[in-house]
Amino acid sequence: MEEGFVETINDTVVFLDPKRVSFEFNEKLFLVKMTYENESYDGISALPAFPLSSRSEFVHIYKGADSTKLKECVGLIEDINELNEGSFDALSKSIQMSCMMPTITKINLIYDEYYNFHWTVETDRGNLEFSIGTPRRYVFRVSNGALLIKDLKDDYYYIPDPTKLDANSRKQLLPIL
Amino acid sequence: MGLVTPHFIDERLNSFLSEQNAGESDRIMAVVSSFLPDAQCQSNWFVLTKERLLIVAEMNGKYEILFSYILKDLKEVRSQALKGGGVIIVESNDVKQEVFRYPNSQGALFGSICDCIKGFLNNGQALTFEDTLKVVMKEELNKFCSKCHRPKLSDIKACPFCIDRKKVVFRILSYAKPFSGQLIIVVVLLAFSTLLQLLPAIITGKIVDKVLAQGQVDLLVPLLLALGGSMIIRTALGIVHARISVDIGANVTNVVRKETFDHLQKLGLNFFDKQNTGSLMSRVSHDSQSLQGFLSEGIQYTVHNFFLIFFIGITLIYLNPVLGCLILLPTPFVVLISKLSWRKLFSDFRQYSDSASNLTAFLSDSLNGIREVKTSGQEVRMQKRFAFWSDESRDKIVKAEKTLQSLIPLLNLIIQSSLIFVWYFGSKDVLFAQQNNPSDFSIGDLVAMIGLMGILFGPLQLLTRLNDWMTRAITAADRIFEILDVEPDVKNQEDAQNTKRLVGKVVFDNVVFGYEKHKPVIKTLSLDVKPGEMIGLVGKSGVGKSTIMKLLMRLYEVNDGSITIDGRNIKEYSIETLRENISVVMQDSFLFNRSIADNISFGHPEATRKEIILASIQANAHEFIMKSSHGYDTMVGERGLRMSGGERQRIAIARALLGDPRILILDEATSAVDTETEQKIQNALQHLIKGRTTFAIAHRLSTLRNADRLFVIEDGVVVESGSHDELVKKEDGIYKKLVTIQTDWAKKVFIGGD
Repeated sequence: MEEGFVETINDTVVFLDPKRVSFEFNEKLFLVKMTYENESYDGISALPAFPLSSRSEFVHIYKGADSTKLKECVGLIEDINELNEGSFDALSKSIQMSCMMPTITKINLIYDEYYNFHWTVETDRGNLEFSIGTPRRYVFRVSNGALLIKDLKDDYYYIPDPTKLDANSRKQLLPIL
Repeated sequence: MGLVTPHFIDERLNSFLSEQNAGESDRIMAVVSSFLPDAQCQSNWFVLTKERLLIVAEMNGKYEILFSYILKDLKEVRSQALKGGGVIIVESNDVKQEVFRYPNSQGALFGSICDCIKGFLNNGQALTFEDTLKVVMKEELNKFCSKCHRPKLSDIKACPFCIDRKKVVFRILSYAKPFSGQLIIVVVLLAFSTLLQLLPAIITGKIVDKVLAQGQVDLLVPLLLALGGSMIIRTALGIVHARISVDIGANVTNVVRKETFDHLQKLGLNFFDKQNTGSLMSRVSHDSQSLQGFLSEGIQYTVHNFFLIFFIGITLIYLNPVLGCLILLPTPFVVLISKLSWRKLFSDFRQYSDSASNLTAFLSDSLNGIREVKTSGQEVRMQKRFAFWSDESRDKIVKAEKTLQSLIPLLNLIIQSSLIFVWYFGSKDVLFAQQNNPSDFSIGDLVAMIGLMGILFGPLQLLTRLNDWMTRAITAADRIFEILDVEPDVKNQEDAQNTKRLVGKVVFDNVVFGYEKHKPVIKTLSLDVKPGEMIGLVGKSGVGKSTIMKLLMRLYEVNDGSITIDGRNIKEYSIETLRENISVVMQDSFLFNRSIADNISFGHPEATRKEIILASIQANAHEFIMKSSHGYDTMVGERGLRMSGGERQRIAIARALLGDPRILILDEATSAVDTETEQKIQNALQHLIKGRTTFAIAHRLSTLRNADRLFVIEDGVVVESGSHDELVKKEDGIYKKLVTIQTDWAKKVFIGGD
């Protein structure tokens, strides 16, 4: 890595300078390319440190990841809003694709049958249906009133602020909480 | 090569795939995910044939192939874990492409699939999906009900929608077989008791007719005696059948509970790794309690109420068919309202139960962590949070009780409304009969019918809940049976050898093991240890040092390779032989909430007091034990928390010494204590290791200096071996590097230099 490419905080944490780094999203290959001056990495992964509460801050950039571990962290960007517009869009897209947990935007129906609560919801990624068991073990309150929902298959869904959902969604949610 | 399809392909997709030469006979697998390659949620299929990889999605109601590759043209296929899921990246012609996204739950499955494809691409292995993938695939399939394809509750095998209730009920009843005579008595007594329950209403009718209307005063006493007698006999029968039922329920539950606990003791750690301890505890205690409720009260109430409805229905129709039907008129309404409201009531009470559990969990957390709360000054914050959960609990119970208390008067109103009609038409019938044929329908008959009507609606309300209630009992029973049906993965072979005393020669030969088979932690590991040798296992956290020892104790079975002791595979020894000959002292030894003496003699309850004391002296534990309030009889408290870490460790060493094991495992035995205590423990250990094959795991390398040989483990294999002196001389050696790091660190901490 070129000298001065990153600002070294200590031996292990490096912050990338948002003004000197750019990102490009390849729509066809679904890959993000990171460039700093003459050096570039294809197919980086962008993972925020707070994938639930703040996806735009402390975004870690990895290269050469595999199924079990992320091999090398190139560095992290403290706030992606400081990137230029094109890079911001590319990285946002990458984060959206790396943090795959759907955010529930509307709850059409929740009904229960034999302790299974079946949800029909709209999310930021499209419509979904899933089932959970007894809410005490499948719905978790996280910071600031947000809800994390685990389904019967062990997949997760997120509601950042239940109070901001529409009236019907809140009504559906009432027996769960 | 069999067709492996973990998901359920409909006819339309099947015919589309057939058109693409990926029909059932060509296909190796087709797995559905809920994400498109751009991470939008929609069904997306990963289809593999012998020659091709296809990614298929449904777009605007039509199936489309998003990506198609000839397998042999691919350079690499790999999966990459992301947050909340993962992605499969395909590389061909030097172009990388993210082609398929899958949710978190399918990480292991796609990891295995990619490994199989990698084997095919790199080594030219045939594209078969044996062993590992089949295991993962089976786990994936197990998440869904094979009948209705609904995802199952993770900790319940049976799908509540498809559960074979008859089968489960018969299995429950099979436990009651030894009590079949008592069961028959209960049913007969219940039938008599139910008939007697009708008598007061009928006798009241007779008193009205014969005594009040016809003036037959001489019948009053006999009728009242009959009334009183029926009540006494019914009460007596009730007491007898309730006592017998309680007996049956408690005995059957006791058998099931003991059988479940015995079976749990036989299961390997592999089972416990995948289970939530709370859930297991709940199965043994709470579910068996539900079963007891079902057997001692459930069967009794159900049979009783069925008898009651049946007998009352017949009596009403016998007394006056038209009026009988009129009385039964509100029945469907009562059933319907009860059914509808029960749903809401059940939900309300479940919410209350959840909030009460949350309150208890918070209370337990905050009391267990009271030191942290106080030292960080968070009392007010905790008070506020407790108030939140407490208020919520109050709101939920108020809501549930309000619904219940509103429902009961409503049902009473419906029942009483029928009373108005019964009085109206009944009175007319009585008057008509009096004018024509008084024996047709008397005032007493009307009074009796009204009396019976009052009894009828109770059982009706109960029967509306029967389905839900039975489901709960059956599911509870099935959760218990699920444990009983698990085959222990580590068990004695039929011809397992019982050897009193092993010598202690240990050989690991190309051992491969992973807690999840597709992710090996130990990879072709080989060790050869002589009897009486002290071996140090060195390596970073997570490289598998403790796992190696668990394999030696046969807490898990190796996936490949073998472990032998004294030249014999450990599978050929009985598990009892291994436990008797191998002792372990762990980093944080678990003590049971019993006396110190009981804890020391835990593995050898037959040990004499003298043996316990001698072991404690050797373990440097005697002194502090004698200073304890009740000496060796001092209770150690829950999990031994009344004792310090060093004291717990020395008790554990005494426990190990008492067994006089041939092989000793010290897994970070001194890492959780201060230097002075460590010194005391090290002295104790010197007694322990004498003449025994010893494996010691320690991060503090200074504690392993005396080992005969050290094995440095990295990524599941031995990368260096030799004595301390040999290894520190090795240039660029891993051990040398670790020693240097620790020495530098010690200098920084204790001397403050660089």
